[in-house]
Amino acid sequence: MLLNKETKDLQSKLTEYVRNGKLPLIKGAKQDKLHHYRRLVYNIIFNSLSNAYPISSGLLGEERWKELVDEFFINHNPQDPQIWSFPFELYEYVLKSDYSLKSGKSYLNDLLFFEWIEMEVYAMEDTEIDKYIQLAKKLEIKDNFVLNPYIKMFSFEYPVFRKEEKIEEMEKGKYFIICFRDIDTFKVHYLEVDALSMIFIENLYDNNGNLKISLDLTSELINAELEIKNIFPLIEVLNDKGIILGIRE
Amino acid sequence: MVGLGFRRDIHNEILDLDNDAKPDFVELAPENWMRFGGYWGSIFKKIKEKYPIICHGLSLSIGSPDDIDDEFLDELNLFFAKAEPLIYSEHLSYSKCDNAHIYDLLPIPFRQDAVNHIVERIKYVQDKLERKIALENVSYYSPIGAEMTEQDFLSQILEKSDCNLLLDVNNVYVNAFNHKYDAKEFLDNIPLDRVSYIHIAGHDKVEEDLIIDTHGQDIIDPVFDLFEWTIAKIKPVPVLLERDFNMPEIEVLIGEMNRIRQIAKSVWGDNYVVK
Ligand SMILES: [Fe+2]
Repeated sequence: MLLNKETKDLQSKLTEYVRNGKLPLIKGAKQDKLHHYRRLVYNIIFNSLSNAYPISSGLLGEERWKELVDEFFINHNPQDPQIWSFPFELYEYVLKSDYSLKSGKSYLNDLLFFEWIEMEVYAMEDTEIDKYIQLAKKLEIKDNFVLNPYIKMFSFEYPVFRKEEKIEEMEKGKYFIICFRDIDTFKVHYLEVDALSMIFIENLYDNNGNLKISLDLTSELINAELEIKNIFPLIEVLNDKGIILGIRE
Repeated sequence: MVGLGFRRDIHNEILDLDNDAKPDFVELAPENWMRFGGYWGSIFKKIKEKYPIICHGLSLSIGSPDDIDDEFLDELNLFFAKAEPLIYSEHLSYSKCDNAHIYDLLPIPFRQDAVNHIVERIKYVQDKLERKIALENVSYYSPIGAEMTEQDFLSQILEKSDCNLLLDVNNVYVNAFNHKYDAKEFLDNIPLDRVSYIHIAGHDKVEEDLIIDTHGQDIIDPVFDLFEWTIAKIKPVPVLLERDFNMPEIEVLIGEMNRIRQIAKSVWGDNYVVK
């Protein structure tokens, strides 16, 4: 390393200051101008996080949100070279720090993730999609589906995706969600499903859209013989939503 | 060649520009477009079809005490394969320290060890990317532990490495004002033959004795004058109008591009082409 310790320390001092706001004496600096660096950096961080989490920041209220951002920016070292995806690190930080319990907002982990995942799915890199034909009215067991690749599946303790319910009154439980991007319009949508459907869809994705294998694996797991007719209504919904795109050619 | 910074908030307007109003290239930050699919991925394809691209990076942090991020350089290479940029430029500053990105440009101490450190890193980055980079003179609001002048710092880095200079004329104006030196004298004492790209922008005066390089205002006449004075001393290079905030109507940007183009033509001649 060609850099002297003293020079490195000067750089660290300035960085520490822009992160914690406590102005140290910095050799050879115009002390009365340094606050602009703190202001400029802080605004970038604060705006990036507030834009990524408009609902969460609104629910916490201005003061608590600012406290959280301050705490996060002091304690956490941002790792992502791309600022658009850096807000995910706040979600990870909150998850690890038990902030949601301490703050009495037990739904916060789910809500932050919900807000983040929309961005992530919206931006997911494009991939080649196999050729497919329209789904027939009558499926055959040998069918293979082509699936929408822009998708994330997860479960929540709180139904934070339900826009019509008040978040503070939501009941704790187990909710299964699919977040996906429409391949034509690029819009991101959510679909709430039951546990059985989630298992089946996960099997579909794990097995490249193979209907027979997915049915067999799901049957095994629930200890019951599933047939195409049991699962057909779900397949129709998934096709209608643009999650199952069609049958592989 | 006169270009415009590609901003998402006016992406449709920029993609609709044609004929005389059309910029000769657009500049974008790779960090804002790498690994992006969906809507913005589709817009990127349209940009690529319509315009030559110059990449102006944000997160390389060439002046950082931290190691260069190899994974990031790999990502850049992947992106460059798609964007095929005419130039890759970055800032002569640091934006990462003590293992933390801070997403803004901090001033490097003007010191000999920093010069040596940066020269070594430029070589490393250029080898990895298999291309030359152009480093931009940034505006700064306070020196930090300086042991030499900004002019010597910049000149030494350019002389000891073979990178190019992205000369931001507005930043020269801003720094000359903030740190009370003569802009033309500064320009006369740096290796202007290394300029491969020029930025010109507006700024905001926030205190009696401090200007911040906001890219949020129209370009002022003294900066246009300094631009004209400077380009008479160098070979033709691409020139970018930088506007990032407080966006005006697209017509205002077209007007500013035209004025830049006129000045460039008057100095460099009618056939102002960049090779
Ligand atoms: Fe610039």
